[in-house]
Amino acid sequence: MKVYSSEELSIPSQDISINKVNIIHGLGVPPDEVDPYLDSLLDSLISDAIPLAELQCSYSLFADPDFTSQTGMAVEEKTFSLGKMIFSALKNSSHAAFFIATAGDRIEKYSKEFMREGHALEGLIVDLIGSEIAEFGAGFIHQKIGQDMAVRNMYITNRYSPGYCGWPVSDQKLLFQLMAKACCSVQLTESSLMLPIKSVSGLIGVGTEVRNRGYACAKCDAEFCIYRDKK
Amino acid sequence: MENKDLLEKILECVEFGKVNKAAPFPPAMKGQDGADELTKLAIEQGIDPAEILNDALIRAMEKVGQKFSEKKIFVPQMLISAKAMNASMEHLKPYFQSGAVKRKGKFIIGTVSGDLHDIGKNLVAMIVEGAGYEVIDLGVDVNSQKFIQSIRDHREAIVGLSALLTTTMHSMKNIVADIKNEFPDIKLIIGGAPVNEDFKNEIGADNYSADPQAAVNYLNSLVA
Repeated sequence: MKVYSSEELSIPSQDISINKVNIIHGLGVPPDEVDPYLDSLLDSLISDAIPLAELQCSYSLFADPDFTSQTGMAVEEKTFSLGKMIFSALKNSSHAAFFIATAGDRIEKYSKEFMREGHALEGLIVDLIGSEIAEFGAGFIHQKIGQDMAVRNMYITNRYSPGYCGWPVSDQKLLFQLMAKACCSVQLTESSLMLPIKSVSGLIGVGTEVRNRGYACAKCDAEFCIYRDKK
Repeated sequence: MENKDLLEKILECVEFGKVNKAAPFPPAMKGQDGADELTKLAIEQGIDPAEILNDALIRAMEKVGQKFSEKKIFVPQMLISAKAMNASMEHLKPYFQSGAVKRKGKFIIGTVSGDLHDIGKNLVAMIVEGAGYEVIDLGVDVNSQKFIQSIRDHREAIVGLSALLTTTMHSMKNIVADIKNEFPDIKLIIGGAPVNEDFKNEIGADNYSADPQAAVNYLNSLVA
C-alpha cells in the first residue's frame, strides 16, 4: 500500500559536488598515474558540465512489502526478483521506498557533441561526470529518505538498483509502474533502460529492524563489476 | 624528410597521441607537426597510402594496444592515440573508397540488449579500426535482429558482443544463440567485465577477449 509520494525535488547545480577520484577510476587510471594534462582536463570539464545538470529526484513509500517468496518481494501485487543479496538486506523491512534520480539529458548531449567531433576522451570524461551527477542525485534522495524515516523512528538500508547485485534490469518496468506520477520525466526503453541515460532508479528498505551497512562490494558476488571497491 | 623517417614520425605521433601541430598533448612534442600534417605531407611526397596504413598506423596502434594490455598506458592515452590515428585516417579515406587501400576485414560490434555501457565497446572498436579493419558499430542496447540484419548486410564480417552488467549476460547468451542459429559459421567474440572463457564456452561463442588487443590478435588469426 502506498503511504507517501515525495514531490519531485530539484537540486541546483551549485549544490552538486562530485568526486574527481571516481571519474579517474572510471577512466581506469591509477590515482598516481594522473598526469597534469589529464588533471587539468578533468577540472575544466567538471566545471563546464555541472552547470548543465538538471538534477531531479523523487521517491514513493509503500507499507508492508511481502517477503514470503524465496528471493522476491511483492508490493501492490508486483513481484520483484531481488536476488539473494538484496533480499537478505531487505527482508526485515516494514516499508519499501522506490526512488528515481536523473541528471537530465543536457550532459549526455554535451558528451555526444564531443564524440561527434572526434574528441573521444573529452566525450568519455563528460559521460562519466554525468554518471557521477546522477549518483549524487541518488545519494541525495537516499539521504532525504533517511531523514524523513528518522522522523518516523525508522531506519533505512543501502540503496539497490535494477541491473546490479543480481536484480534483473527488466524489473525496472515494475518499479516505474509503482512510481507512476513521480518519475521525473524519465522514460523506459523497451529493454527497460532509462532515458535520459544519466538516471538512477532503485529501492531502499525501511523499518525498525534494518540498517544501512555502507558500501557492500565485499558481499556482492559480481567479482568483475567495474564499480567494485570504487568508494 | 626521407620516406622511412616520415613514416616513423607518423608512427610516433599516433603512438604518443600527437594529433596535430596545435594539440597541447603530449607536452614533449608541443609545437611539432602531428599525425594530421605529417600524413598529408607523406601523401604529397608520394608515399603509398597502403604503406602509411601498414607501416605507420597499424604498427602504432599495435604498440598502443600492447602497452594497454600490459597496463603501461591507460584509457585516456589510448583514446588520444586513437584520435591521432583518426586524423591520419581522414587523409587515407579517399584511398579506402577508391579501393587503392584495402582493409583486412570487417568487424561488427555492439553492446547487447539491455545494456547501455559503451566504454569497453568503443575502445575495442577504436583499436580494431586502428589494426586495419572496417568497423561497423551498432551502438548500445543492440538486440538479435539488429545484429542479424547487420550480418546479412556484411556477410564476411566477424562480430563482437559487449556487456557490462551481470544481468545482461543472459541477453548475450540469447543473442549468440540467435546469431548462431541463423549463421552457424559466423565467428563471434565476446568481451566485457562480467564475462570470461568459461562463459564463452557455455554460450557457444568463438572467442573471449579480455582486452582490445586480444580481440585484434584473434581477428588477425582468422584473416591470416
